[in-house]
Amino acid sequence: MTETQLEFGKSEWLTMGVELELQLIDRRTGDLTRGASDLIALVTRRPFPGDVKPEITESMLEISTSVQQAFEPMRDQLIAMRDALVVGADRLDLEIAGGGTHPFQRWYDRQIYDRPRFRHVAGLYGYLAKQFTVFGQHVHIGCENGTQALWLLHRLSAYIPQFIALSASSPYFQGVDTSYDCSRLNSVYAFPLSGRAPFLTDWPAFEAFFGKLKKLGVVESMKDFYWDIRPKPEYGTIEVRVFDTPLTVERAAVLAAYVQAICRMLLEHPAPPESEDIYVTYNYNRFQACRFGLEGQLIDGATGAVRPVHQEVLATLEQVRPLARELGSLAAMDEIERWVRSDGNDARWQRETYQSHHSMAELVLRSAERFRGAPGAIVAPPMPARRADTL
Amino acid sequence: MDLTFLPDWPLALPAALAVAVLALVAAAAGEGAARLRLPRLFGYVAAGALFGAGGYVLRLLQLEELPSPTLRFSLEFAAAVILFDLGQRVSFGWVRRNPALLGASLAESGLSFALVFLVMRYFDVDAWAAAIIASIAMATSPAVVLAVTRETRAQGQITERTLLLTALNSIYAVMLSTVLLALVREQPGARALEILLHPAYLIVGSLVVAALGARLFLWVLSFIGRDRAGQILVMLSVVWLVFAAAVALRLSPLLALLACGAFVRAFDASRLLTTTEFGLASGIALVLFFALSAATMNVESLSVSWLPVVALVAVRFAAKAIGVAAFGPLSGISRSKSLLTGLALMPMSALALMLIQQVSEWNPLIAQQTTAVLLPAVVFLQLAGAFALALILRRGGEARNER
Repeated sequence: MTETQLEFGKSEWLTMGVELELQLIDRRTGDLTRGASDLIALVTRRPFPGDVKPEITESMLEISTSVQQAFEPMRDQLIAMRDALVVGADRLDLEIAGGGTHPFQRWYDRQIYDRPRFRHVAGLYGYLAKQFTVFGQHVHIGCENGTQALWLLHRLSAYIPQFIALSASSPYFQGVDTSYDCSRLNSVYAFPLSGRAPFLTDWPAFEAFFGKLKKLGVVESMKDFYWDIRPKPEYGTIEVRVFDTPLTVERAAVLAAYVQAICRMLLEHPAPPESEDIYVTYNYNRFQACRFGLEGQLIDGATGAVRPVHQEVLATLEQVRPLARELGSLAAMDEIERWVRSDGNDARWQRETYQSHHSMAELVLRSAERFRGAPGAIVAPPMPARRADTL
Repeated sequence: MDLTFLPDWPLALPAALAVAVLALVAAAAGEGAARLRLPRLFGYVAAGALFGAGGYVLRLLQLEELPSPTLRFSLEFAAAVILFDLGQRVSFGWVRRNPALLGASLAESGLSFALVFLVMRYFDVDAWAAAIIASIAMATSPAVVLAVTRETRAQGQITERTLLLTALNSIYAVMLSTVLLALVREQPGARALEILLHPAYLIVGSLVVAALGARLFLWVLSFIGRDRAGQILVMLSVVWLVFAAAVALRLSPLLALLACGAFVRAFDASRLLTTTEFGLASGIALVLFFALSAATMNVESLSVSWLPVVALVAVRFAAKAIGVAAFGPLSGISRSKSLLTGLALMPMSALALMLIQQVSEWNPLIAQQTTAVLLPAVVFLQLAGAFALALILRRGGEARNER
């Protein structure tokens, strides 16, 4: 194997894994604070129910689940990790919070975690690297080979606006209401290798593409691509990266189950999309979802039909429900329906919370309380009136 | 020619102008220290010492001589602001969630007291004086810790724990030394009830004043909103009120203000404090405190036998390091970080000297014995401690680049 080749590790179809980037918060001020290495050292004294790693700054950490088959064990593992972190954080007087951005942190205050790769990134991208103190959820879906991964990647891209709108939790950034539901992706977009992956539908072609960029010195590894969905050859997965970290781990599990159910549906017709035309309205729709969340207006590139994101979600739910029953994730689909019909996304909760307290610090500390989770938070209350009626 | 419209020479200047001139020189000297990569407080202290030394500079400027009531009030008010600010850093919640922190705090303070007391007795210091010295040696300087963490914009476990342990050991030190001083005063033929009553009145009374002050503060703050100037004004007024009430009621102003800050944090259920920022006010108070405490220092008493001082510095250093490190892993951080935290507690408090002044009124012998040891120890440990603290925060990776 030459060094420009990428061997695609085989995974079991539809297995999933979740990575969450989390914020470390000062209890007194609600600002981001240092403490990742101390917290990681403390929680890994005992076997940690998953994996926990430092991220690019000392105020960020990343947890990841093991490879999971189904929604409930995935959720339970996330909850177990969350509980272990909260116990550790309490002893260090820290809070942990979800959310795609910290509402008021000043990026120039952040310290880059001392590791060769992080130093490299900081050196290359300058202020972008520090401004990149944003927090995302990555969902991995197992694929059997590289070509299958690529066609799944391209067909899944039609659902990206839904993923963005459902997870959006970054309305505030650097002390202002950005007017976006998801402002985090605007930070990601500043990187040269962001956006969507090139339209390549078989693995050898992708390998050739990667090899070319590597020879040109544009990239060193797959990690240099900040695409919305990217193949992850060493795990044998595709990785959906557009999610803001939700405010609770329960939501993170629900979102992963939704991706899994959609992939299961796409499996019914295992073929690559016919042409790059699927991407005609991609950036526009992506923007609509970031800006307006569930109210974003999506344009179907083929038919010209316009539909709001919340209707798209309900339509998709209709399609995937039977498959979700097989996968054991019906409860997760109900939860998504509840968000769409009544609760809204986290961005809505964040705006409502801010508007009733007029304090970003209060918003952060309430987000941290929410992250701690309440028992039975996942259980859906009785379904209220249709969201569409109230629009 | 009639020149009577010109002022008389020497000029008739208000006495309080000394504070303004001193503050001006201190600010400039602080910047000078920063250019030499030293903590700014070195500059403040140097400026204060320049003014203090025999009052020469002040006489030259036709200003009031030191110490004077104006300067003393300015110094005490600055100290009050600093104590209140530090008190706010104390999180009772954290101590409850992590009781090993209380263990570390009691260990380092208890060990400091015990070892310093034994060493003082070894050097034939009077038992009461030894106990007072030992109780004061427990305290880490709130001013130094706040000044250095502020200047280095430090953030992290060493920083937070140093602030917490400083607040706690200052509280113990103020309580214990207040009690000891009260006992010394009652010593000749006092009845048991009186002996107990005085310290009890001091401590309970100070805490009650503190709690009332904290309630008042939060109540007013709740309708000040987010006007920063208004918030700072409320803070300064409440600090002044608590200070004045404690003095008028013959309580301990030091304890009342530390406790008031801590109560404000504890009572703040609706998190009003998150929208406040008193850093500027306490930053100004710090400059004045260092400059004025150096200016009002009585340098003549520096002629002492150095051996007890060196011994005090050494055992105190060891006691704090061992005490904190013993509870390190139990309290959730590595042994090496907790050792650094213990070493960070080195700066000694100039508040000690304010306490001692009370003694001199009624027991000159004890006052003389305690000052002889404490004054040089404070001078050395404040400066060396500040330098060490800055170094530790940088080494621990908690100091952030200065802008």
